[in-house]
Amino acid sequence: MPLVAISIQTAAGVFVAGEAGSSLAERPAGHDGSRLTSPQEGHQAGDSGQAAEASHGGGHEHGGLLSYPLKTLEQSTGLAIPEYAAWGWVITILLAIVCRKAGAALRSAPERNLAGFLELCVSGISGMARDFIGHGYEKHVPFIGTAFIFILCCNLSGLVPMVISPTGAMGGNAETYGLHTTIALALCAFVYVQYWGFRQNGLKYLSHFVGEPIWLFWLNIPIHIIGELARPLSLSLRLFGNIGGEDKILFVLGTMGILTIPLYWPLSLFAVFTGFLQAFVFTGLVCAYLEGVTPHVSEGEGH
Amino acid sequence: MDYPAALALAVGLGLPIAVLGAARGQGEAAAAALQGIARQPDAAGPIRGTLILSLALIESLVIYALLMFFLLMGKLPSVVEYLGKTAGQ
Repeated sequence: MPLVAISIQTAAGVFVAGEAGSSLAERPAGHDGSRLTSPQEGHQAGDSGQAAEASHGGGHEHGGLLSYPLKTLEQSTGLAIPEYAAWGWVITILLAIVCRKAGAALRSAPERNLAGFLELCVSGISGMARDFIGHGYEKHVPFIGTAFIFILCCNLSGLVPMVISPTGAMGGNAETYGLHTTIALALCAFVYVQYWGFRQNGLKYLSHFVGEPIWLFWLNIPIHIIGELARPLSLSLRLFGNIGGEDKILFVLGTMGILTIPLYWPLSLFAVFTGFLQAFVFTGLVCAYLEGVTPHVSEGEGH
Repeated sequence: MDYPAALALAVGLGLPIAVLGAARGQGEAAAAALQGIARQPDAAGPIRGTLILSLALIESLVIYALLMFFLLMGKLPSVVEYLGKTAGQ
């Protein structure tokens, strides 16, 4: 059984090496034209966001399974959808199907395997939310659970052969570096935290920008605002750097010929662990931010 | 030292210097977590969760340096280009 897994990984590595050889032989030309990237919001089984429309990225080193259909779509209708955005949609639709089937199974049959497994996931995530947020954690579990599962599936999808991961793919050129999906996720989290901050604290939420010595407000307000704005930036950079860096390392390992065989599969196992860890870190940090804006009764929790 | 040489030095040395500080910080975090677990084994679960989160936060600083490495590595000239340029002068 491990031999099968190792041979599959080796075949994937060899395939990636073939793609790398063919694409490195012709260096992609530089791009002209404007790049409009609107953030892509992916949610699960409910509101679907808009697809990110950027001019098509030739800066990819390799194309995945959807590159040919997307190219024909672009040639026929002129609609340029980058491949990572399409894979984000695929992941969203697959998650929606799985969760609807599990929900139907919960209502009809007593304890099917899929529903039991998803119950385990939800109880784990709500336990994490309870540990971090504390008192009023129930209403945040849907968003946190969605973020965790979506980010986890996006991270792990980079390891499946022929799939371009939405969180790890490089963008077109150096300006839209690769932060497309991750900054969309981080902006969603930022808007969510600010919304709940205003909703739970009213306008008193604005007073937390003023620090402890009141007469230092002219210093505290810019520092706190910059700190608040730095949070989505750091969330997105962290997620993209970890997952994109790991995928790029795996890609470079795939180009190394005979050395791929002993080196590829341990690093792809480590990439699975990194995918779990980064999803946990993203949602853990969102929980910590939510804990900062949740009013706690006993102690005067302020910044 | 001309620009490609300085750029090559920056590309090579930037990430390891970031790793130095981050390794020290992560070591201290892990040591504090291990001491906490040794003192109160019942609190091992929350301590482990906080440890993982802190380690990932420190590691994210190294990831920023890794991103800078990727950005700068794209600007390095190849050996053939560089030798052709200096031979032509």
